[in-house]
Amino acid sequence: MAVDFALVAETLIQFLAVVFLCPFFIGVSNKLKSIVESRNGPSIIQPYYDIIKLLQKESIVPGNASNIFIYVPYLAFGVYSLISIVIPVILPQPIYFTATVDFLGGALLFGLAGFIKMLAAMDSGNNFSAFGVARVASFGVFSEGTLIVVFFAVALITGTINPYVTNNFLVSNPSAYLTITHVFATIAFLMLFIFESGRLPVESSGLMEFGMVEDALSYEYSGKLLAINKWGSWIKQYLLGSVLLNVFLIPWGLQTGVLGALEDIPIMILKWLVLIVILVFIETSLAKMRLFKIQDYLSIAFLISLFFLIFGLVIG
Amino acid sequence: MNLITELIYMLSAATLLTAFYILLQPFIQSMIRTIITQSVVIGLISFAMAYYLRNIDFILLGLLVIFLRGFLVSYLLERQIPKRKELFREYTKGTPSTLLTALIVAVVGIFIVYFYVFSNLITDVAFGTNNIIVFPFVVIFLGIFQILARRNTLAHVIGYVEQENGIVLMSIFLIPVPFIVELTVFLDVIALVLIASIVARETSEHKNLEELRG
Repeated sequence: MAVDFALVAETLIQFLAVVFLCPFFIGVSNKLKSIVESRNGPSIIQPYYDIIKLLQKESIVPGNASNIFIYVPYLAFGVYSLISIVIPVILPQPIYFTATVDFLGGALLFGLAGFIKMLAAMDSGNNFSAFGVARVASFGVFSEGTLIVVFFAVALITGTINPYVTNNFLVSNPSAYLTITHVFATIAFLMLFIFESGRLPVESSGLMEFGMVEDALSYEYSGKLLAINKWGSWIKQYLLGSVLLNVFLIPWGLQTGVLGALEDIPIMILKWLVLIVILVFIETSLAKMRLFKIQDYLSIAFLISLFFLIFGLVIG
Repeated sequence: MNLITELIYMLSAATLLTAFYILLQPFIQSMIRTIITQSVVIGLISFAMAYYLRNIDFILLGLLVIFLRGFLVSYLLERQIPKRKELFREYTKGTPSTLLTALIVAVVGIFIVYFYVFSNLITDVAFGTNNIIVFPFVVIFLGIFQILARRNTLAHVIGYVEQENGIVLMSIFLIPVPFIVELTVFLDVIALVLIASIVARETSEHKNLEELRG
């Protein structure tokens, strides 16, 4: 079988861009937020410094933890890397591994990564990690459901569950962009993205025990393992945000071909700036929600997605 | 689909969102404000229908809905709230379970409407497709569910007003000249709000099984 070098180049560009650009967006978002709060704030490339610093440090493993604890950060990173080459996060064109999974498969892979992270956190034997797992699991009831239902909504509009066809369909049919199902699926997905990236009305980031959700899972990690874990969750944020941008919010503007793949990187940066501005606006204008209210928030997202999915079915 | 039908669909979806918001809202004053919003949205739908059907009646109907239903009824209701209006609330809990039950009510309602009413009863609708009837039906169902789910009398009255809003919305989509519906429904609501305000003075909360006591 002859190797298609253009395809290999496109795959490599997409993979490397996702892996190496995702900390940049975190830095930009932190910087923008600190500017709005009239602070000086950390540098845009601070996340890279964090990763380099942590990679040079030694990892400490709890005495009664098994090998799962050590391998899971690498496994989760691998799963997120796999997702990054099967959905249109940079290039709106099928690449090497595209045929492996569709939207639903992507959602299940996200679920797999979340599950093994929870497993590793339980394995560490720390009480804080255990209650973090309890929180993540009880919120996951609604968040994973919303993720899958939103993809069903997309499938309903476009007649396919392939993300590339969906992107193409929305670009060529502007009227599909304004249907009720699509609009409310976008709102539900935005609410889900705010939860998954731990931003303000929800704020799950930080190590304060009252509100920590996602960070409780990496409570026992240190050094290299912590760096890999963090990097993986940044890739996850980038992937969810790019699906939000390329399939729901702004499906237009992506180029094809090898040169197009290179052009897509600055285009994606511009799109992300729009998303970051929206997020910073939400984050700086809303108060933090109490922890037990997050379930309500997510159930509203679930309701919106499921309800308008059924409406889409009825209205047609 | 052209832009105006899309706008009507979006506004109808907005009425549903306000219905869900009322269902979850513990503060009575905020519920009444949301009823105003819902009525204004229904008025806007009426304006959009005026443009869609090129019929001036709908503009008058929209104005009537906004001023009578939106502001007069809400004013009468808001006067009934006891002291410290902005703090008066019913203690509610269990948002996810309420929402999921409401979802089940709404979905079962949608399917009943879709498979029974569409195929057997409704043949002619002023709006292009008869699928749009689903929205007012769901608003009516959510109004009924609101009466079931709450204990406070004012919340019950608000559920009733919401139900009547659903009827007006249905009449906007259904019948070519909906004035009669609006007037009769409005008189209905005024009478009920006046009676209910007396009841609300008498008993402000209805607990489970109270009616069964001898």
